[in-house]
Amino acid sequence: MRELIVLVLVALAHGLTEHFDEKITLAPLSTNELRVDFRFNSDRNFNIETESRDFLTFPRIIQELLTRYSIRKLTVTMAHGRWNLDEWGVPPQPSAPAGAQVLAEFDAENGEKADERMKFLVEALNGVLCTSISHINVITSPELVVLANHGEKSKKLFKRYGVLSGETTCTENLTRLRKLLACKENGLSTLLHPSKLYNSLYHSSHLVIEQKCLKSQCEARMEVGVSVVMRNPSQKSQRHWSLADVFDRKLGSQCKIARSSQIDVIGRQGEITSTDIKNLTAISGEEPFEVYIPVTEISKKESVVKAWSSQGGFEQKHGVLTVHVTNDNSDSEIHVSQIIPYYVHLRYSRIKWECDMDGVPTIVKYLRNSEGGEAPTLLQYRLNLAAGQTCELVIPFDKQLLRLEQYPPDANHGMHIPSASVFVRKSDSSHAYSIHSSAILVLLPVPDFSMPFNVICFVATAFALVFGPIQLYSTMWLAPVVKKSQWGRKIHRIILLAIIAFCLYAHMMDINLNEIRRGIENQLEKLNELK
Amino acid sequence: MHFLPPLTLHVFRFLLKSLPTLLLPIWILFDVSTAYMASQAAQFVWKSMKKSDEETKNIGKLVFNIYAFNPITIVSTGILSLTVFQNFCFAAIFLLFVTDRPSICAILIGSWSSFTIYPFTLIFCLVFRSNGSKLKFLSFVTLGLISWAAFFGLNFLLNGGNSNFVEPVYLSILFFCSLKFSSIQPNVGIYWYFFVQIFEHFRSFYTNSFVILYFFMPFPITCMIRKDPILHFTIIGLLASIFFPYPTLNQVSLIFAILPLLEVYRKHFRYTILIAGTIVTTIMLMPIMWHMWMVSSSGNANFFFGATIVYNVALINLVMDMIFVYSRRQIDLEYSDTLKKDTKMDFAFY
Repeated sequence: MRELIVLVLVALAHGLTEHFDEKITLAPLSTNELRVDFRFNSDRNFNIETESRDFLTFPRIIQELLTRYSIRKLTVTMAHGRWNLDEWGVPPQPSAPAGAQVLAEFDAENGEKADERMKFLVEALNGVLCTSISHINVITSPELVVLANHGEKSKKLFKRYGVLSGETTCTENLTRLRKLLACKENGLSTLLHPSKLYNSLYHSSHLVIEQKCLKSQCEARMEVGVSVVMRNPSQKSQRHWSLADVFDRKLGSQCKIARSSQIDVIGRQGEITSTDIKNLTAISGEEPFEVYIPVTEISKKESVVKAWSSQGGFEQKHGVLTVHVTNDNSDSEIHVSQIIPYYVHLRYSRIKWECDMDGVPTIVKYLRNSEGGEAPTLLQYRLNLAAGQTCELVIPFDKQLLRLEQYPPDANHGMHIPSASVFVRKSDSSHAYSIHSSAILVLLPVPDFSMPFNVICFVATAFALVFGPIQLYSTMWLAPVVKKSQWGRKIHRIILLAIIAFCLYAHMMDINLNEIRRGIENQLEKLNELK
Repeated sequence: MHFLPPLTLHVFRFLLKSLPTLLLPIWILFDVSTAYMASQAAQFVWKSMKKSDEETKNIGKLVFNIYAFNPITIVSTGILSLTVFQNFCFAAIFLLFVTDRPSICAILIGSWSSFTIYPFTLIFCLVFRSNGSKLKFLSFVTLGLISWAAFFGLNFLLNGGNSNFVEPVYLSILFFCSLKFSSIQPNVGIYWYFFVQIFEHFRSFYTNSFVILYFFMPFPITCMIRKDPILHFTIIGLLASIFFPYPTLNQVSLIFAILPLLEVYRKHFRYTILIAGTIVTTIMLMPIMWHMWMVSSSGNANFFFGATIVYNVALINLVMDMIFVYSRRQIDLEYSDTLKKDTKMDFAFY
């Protein structure tokens, strides 16, 4: 503790201030579903000129990422499961599609440099978060808003967005996220216990980092969040949730260096009961610390804009992707972003919006066409929907036959088209959020993986068939040879015909040729014995 | 998945915007005029061979019917396939070739090659129209190159001074480019499955050797077939259709239509029935195999590949038979006094 104070004093001398806040929000969604949100916020104010290498609570690796790649804002999300928009309301922000998602805003000299920098950044993220997203294609630059926390417009910055639907999130990612926190072993982070958090209906975790500089004074921020929707472990008995039930752990320590650490419980009417555990002595006592979590139904359900994707078409060559968007009961401005990976080719002329009620509203669209090999296409649309209006974005596509090495090891499983991101901004208020539709799995046409050599041989033979005779006829002279006696050849042919005829006969009569052969052998042996 | 230069984009954008109802009539017009030109060319050939008027009329009718009532041409016109225009170019080149207008022919070959470089081998046919003078042939080649360059310049201007179309249109099938056959979709050619299956580090080697083989082939063929321009044109045209990077079934329709012009060789063809039967069978099988692979998933890619490779081997055998038939006929002409009609002969290469 004394060392800490010394450190703080040293830091203050350099104009450095750092804070760490932690918070858990527990909200019952229905009688047996509970939503848990962890939010860990860390910030760091420092002077860029007199910057010391001292870090109190802010993770050094994040500061290095921010500086090295001159990031202004970066959002990484990982999720599995599907957020039930009908029952659970607005998803945790920034909203996460199934799989991994990266959205970055950063400085770069030009577009090419930005792409290159993004590749390195993705690799660095792999290291920080223990993910395997290096084959994510993050070279689409969105024009419209994708996620609600990236709403501000700035022309100078480069934006890159990518989604990898097949990525699974697991315990390692959670461990790495915990490593970024100031309090790893005590405080609320002890409740980040994987056995319960992953045994849930929905799990998403995110990392948001940003850095803002005003002249030489900079502020770096980090938010680590984990959101989980879990089932009531004791479904039959309608007793209250307990922390031990929810997290499989008990809270036994406090994070001393946190500025605040609190547990919020949202009640039936939306009222919030806050418990500040920072100065609570009950935690270190004998009796396990508990908060009161009611088992209720949410009485007032928020109406949300809904989005989901579906796939049409029955063959392996063509298909249709439909993104449905249904507005809630007030007008809203909607931005739809859909990433189309390279293995699906769009039929641009047939992409259309279909709306009910009073027809298609005015739509602003942006196309980021894929250039070159494996770059994805980004489709973005901005439209204003009336209350209760449903619109469908119909995207017909051709599935591509890829080269052998472009297929994943389980090619017959199909490949994902990432979910569409829908950003909603209410026209009357500043309320804004983003949601994601479902990712779809497309079955691509696959070649036969077992016989590349056969194919190479066949085609090379066809080419040899062209080359051989051309070479022969152009280098040699065709000359007639008058035929001699044909008898030898004729007898040979007759014998061959006889053998074929006999074989056919044997086949038709179901005579085993081996038996005949053995019979002949026996006959020959008998002949030998006679001698 | 066949890339075309910006000119096509502009022309078809204009067509689609201004006269969308006239699309099918335009295609039908081109198709019928192709058949008409082919029949005119056939009649001209027959006239120059001093056949009777009735025979000339008949051959014209035959060629017209074979092209115009070929079910594949009809269907291709119905689906507005671009091969209709290719066949139109092909027929125009053939007509100009037989009517002895080599310079216009060279210009046409050059301009067609600006869309896809493969038909440029047809320029070798003009050897027969340069009266043995190397300079004249070279001037035809230059003329072709100039018209190619003119179209290239036009494309360049239409593309707003940007040359980014060069790579997908020309280089994607040419030497030493990393994108060769990069996105190859199933078609009836022989390349597609090969380049799906080939290992990455052999890709450039095989592309280069195939392209070199294709552009080398006209040299020995031109040296070989010195006395028959029609046969030479047919062989070069058939090879161009077989080795086209993204061919369709309609690519060989015009060659099939002018096959009756090889009447003198008819009795020497060895595998006529075999080749005809194979082509018909494989064309019938292709949609079935495709359905089995893509729609019902009861077969795999090898089924469709099998049908296409056999189809191509049949076409290649037709080329080889044509080369044999030419040598055979030379023997007939050479030994016509010593050979009796029913002498049976074996052949040997010396």
